[in-house]
Amino acid sequence: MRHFIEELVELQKELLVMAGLVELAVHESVQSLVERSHNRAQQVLLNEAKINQMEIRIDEMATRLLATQQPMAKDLRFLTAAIKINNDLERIGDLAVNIVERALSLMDQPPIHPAVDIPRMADLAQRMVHDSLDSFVRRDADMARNVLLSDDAVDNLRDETYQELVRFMQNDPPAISRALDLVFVARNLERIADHATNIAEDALFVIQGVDVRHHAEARG
Amino acid sequence: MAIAGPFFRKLLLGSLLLILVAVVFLDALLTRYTAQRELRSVEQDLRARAQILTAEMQDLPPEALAQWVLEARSRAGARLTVIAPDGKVLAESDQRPDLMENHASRPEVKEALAGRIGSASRYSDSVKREMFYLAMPVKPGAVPGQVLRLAVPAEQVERAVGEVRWRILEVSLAAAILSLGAAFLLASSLNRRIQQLQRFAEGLVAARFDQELPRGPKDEIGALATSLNGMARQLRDMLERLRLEAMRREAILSSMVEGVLAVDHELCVVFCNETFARAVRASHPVAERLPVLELVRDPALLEMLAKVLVENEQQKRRLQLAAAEGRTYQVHAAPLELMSGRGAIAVLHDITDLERLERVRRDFVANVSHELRTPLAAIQGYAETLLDGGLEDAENKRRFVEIIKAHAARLNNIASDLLALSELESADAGPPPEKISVADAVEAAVTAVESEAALRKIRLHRSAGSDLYATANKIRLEQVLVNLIDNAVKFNRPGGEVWIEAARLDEGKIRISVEDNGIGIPSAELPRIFERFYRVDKARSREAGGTGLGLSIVKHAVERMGGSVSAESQLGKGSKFTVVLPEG
Repeated sequence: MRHFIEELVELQKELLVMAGLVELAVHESVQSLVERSHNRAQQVLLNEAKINQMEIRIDEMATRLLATQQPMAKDLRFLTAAIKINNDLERIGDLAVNIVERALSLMDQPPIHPAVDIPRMADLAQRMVHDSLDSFVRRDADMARNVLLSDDAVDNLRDETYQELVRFMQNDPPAISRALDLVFVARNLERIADHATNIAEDALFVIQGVDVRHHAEARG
Repeated sequence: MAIAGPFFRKLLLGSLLLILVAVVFLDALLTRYTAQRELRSVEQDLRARAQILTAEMQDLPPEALAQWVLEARSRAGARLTVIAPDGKVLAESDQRPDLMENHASRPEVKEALAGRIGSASRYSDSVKREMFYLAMPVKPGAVPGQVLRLAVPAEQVERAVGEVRWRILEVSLAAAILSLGAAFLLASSLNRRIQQLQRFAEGLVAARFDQELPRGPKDEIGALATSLNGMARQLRDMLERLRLEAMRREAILSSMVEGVLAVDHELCVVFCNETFARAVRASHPVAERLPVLELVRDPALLEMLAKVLVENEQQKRRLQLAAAEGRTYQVHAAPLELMSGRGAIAVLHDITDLERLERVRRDFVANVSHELRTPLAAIQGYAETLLDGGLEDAENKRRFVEIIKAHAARLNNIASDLLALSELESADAGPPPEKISVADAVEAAVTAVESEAALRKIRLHRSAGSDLYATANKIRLEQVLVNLIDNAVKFNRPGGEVWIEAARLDEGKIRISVEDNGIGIPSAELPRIFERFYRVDKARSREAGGTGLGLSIVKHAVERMGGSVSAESQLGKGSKFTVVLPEG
């Protein structure tokens, strides 16, 4: 049995290493956009392969443990949560790559200045990813609940950004393709935040054994 | 004091056993000795009587024998038996001889028949009691001849022995009690001292070092007590030193602006200081032996630590930590010798501000060249056009000269702003601050930008009490307000509004705020707007006639007057600049 516990610890370790890579990818993708830095963009693209490999490895590990150890209660919750978090992390990594692709496209064109606050949205999304993972690691239910609550703020920001960009495109038709890139960036950030809420839900599931998905009251 | 310790019991039981064995042994020895002596004296006594009686019997006719036996019995104080050489009983004092069996087989009689004196002690069937017998030939030399046997009850001997035995028992009992008492005292004293030592040692284990063992007798236990006292003293000193050391270390670590993280060979936290915990937004103190991954997941930092552990060499790198809100750190990582083996320590120096300053300086040179080159290029271009025949172009020459003039004015603006800035930055304090009416300063500033505001259809609202006074420099304060209001007007939408408000804060401070509902500033750019030549929207700023130095001048001027300036903004909603000055 001791062996099994060690394997769970190892699984969490792998998951956290992957989380570190994904967080870095999100951070670098946003920075590449803000600083118009090719270097940083390349970094994210290079990281992507590593993240995908880790996802496969963690998935195999978790599935094997599920199949061979027939875990109960807490361990079972942890394993299912790990599989889901692994999936969410991989998706976040993909979204970061999407942002980088938009950033690379914007880099080759003159900058535009619509009144949208992409960095603020990016900060919020990054904070949510970070906090959701911290809540999982530290088994901190309050922190996880706060992540669920901040999802609305990101959604609002995305809506404002959409409206502002639509206005911007109407006034400046030549900038439409660049503004569209920003629309996609905002969309990707919002989806990153969604995956962060998934992770926070899984963290709550591990901590309390409560399924908070699709429950309006938990989201406030 | 718990007297019934096993040690005490063993000691007492041991001495009890020893005393018991000694008493029993002594008792047996003495009893045996007394019995033998008593027996010998009875035998001698009987022999003496027997000799007298045999002498009497020499002349006795055989028929008087029965009578004599009865008569001699009382004199002898013993039962008398006369036995014929064939063992037949001839006469007997206490019984009828004809009823008695042949006595030839009795050991003492056998001896006497052989001519010697025989004695024995045995249970007599005739009288039903333990008897002592002595038999002697009546005529020495006549073998076998008549035998005279004397018998006395053995209880006489027993009584004597019993008497002595009781005395011995009394004495040895007294000795046993006395020695037991002594043993008890010794055992309890030993026990007490050993328990003292034990309690002392337990105290040491529980880290009570203030106790001291009493000085006892100078034996082995006393020596042990002295050593223990010395040990306690040394432990106390050592612990004190360690505590001081730990306190010193804690003080140094917690007062450090650098984050410190130490890990062991399994990448578990050995310690980290508060700065580090704060940087990664963990609660301090961090649990010992927490896997570092659960504290910080940044791949670059983890990789550095792992590398130090493997290569055992120092590492130095500049990292941007996503966990610490993207702040930049210069990280030094070095091997660390730990009790449990190899470890690594990382010191994180936050160089975000330093990097920013560096960038500001770099940007300034680039910006100032760029800012100067643009108007200069225009002036040069139009001057060349004029020289290359433009002077003859009556239609355009006036326009060209006007453009040259506009760009020269712009150059002039930049130069005077730069001069103002450098004056503000110089060590020279400038004119001393005085009591200035805030309402007057606001009024003067509003007057200066009124025409521009009217042009852009922007309404200015002001509310400044006439009783508000600030300690400031009049020209500088007006310049600050003009720059702020000018920005609020320029970076606004047509029909926008600007509010200028002044109020008294607590603790002798005046707050003046300039708020607009204009285009706002992106949050990422907000920290940089006070930098020289920093522009959020370069094209728009230049078009509006700004030099890119206005807010930089505001910041320096306000700080020069002992105040502070801050900005908050929401993109698309507007900005608010707040100046706080000492009250006049």
